Amino acid sequence: MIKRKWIFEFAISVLIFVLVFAFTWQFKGVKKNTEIRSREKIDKAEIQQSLYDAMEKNEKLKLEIESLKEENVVLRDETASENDYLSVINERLSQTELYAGLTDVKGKGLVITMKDVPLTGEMKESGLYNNYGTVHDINILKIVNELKAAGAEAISVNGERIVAMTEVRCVGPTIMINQERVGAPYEIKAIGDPDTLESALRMNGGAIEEATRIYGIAVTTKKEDEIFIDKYVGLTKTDYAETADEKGEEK
Amino acid sequence: MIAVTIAVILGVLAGLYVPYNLSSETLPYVAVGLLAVMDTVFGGIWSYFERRFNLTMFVSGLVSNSILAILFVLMGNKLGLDLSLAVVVVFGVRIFNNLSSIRHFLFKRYSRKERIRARLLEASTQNQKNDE
Repeated sequence: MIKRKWIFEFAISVLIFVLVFAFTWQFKGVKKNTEIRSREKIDKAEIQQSLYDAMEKNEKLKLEIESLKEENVVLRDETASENDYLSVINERLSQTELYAGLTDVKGKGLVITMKDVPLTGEMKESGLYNNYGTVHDINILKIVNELKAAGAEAISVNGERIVAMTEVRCVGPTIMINQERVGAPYEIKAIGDPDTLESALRMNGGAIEEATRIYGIAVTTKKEDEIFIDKYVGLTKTDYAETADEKGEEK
Repeated sequence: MIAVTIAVILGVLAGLYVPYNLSSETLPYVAVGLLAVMDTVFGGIWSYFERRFNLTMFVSGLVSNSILAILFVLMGNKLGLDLSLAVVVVFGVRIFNNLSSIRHFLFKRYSRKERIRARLLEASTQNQKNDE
């Protein structure tokens, strides 16, 4: 009988050891998990706040750039009015700026609007056409390229001026233009001869037909007598390229 | 009793100083295993009181219960069905049953009234036997 009692006590003790050990371990695990979860929540709020702060700062800095540029123009004009040689250079500079997209411009042209079309019925249920009806970077690129070919003199997409180094690129559900995110619907403004621009876009198998029939996007065009296009407000600094006076030899 | 106390202290210490933490994926398995162990402990105590404690039965019950419980949770994860609920219910019921049996047993053993009643009962059966 005593022997049995000892066996019993030993077995129960071992089990209770395992039980208490597992309990403590589990407690620790659960506590840690909840801690991590709450910390993640705080982190999210903080990150959001800092994002808002950064955006606000960004806006302020943009305004500052604006005012400094204006000041620059005023100073240049003042200097130029005193000197004939400088005034000629100034005129050429203005022309270059206009061409490079550094000034606001106006003129007659074409406004193209591209909208996403929500899927309906069978197409939505099958799940095979997730890209159908959504405006992609390639659609905008093709239209912009066609406009350039048709002699457009200034183009902007949702207020972002298209200049020499402008990129048009998908970033998740939005599109990145001049390092800025823009979302649907996309409004492309182009200054040039409205009829030429429109017929270039609307030719058989052209950019608009492709966008509507293959990609399922809604595209509308509108000729206008006067369109305003904002100037390019991004950076104009170059880190690597510098002006070369003579042609380098090709290797 | 001393062994149990030492086991509790050692268990807490080991649990606190175990170097790595359980991830959220393994937590349900440990919880279910814990229930199986608890069930075995109470079952063992009850069987001891009933004087039918057997080490082989005890250990085999512990192993099979734990494995079955963990398999249930695993299967539940694979089927997308929370089968750990079934384990919790079964073990919960068994733990409560065992505990109430232990309680009744202890009550009978240590309550004076109950002891007198038992003795009277025994005496009456003895009398009956004598009469026969």
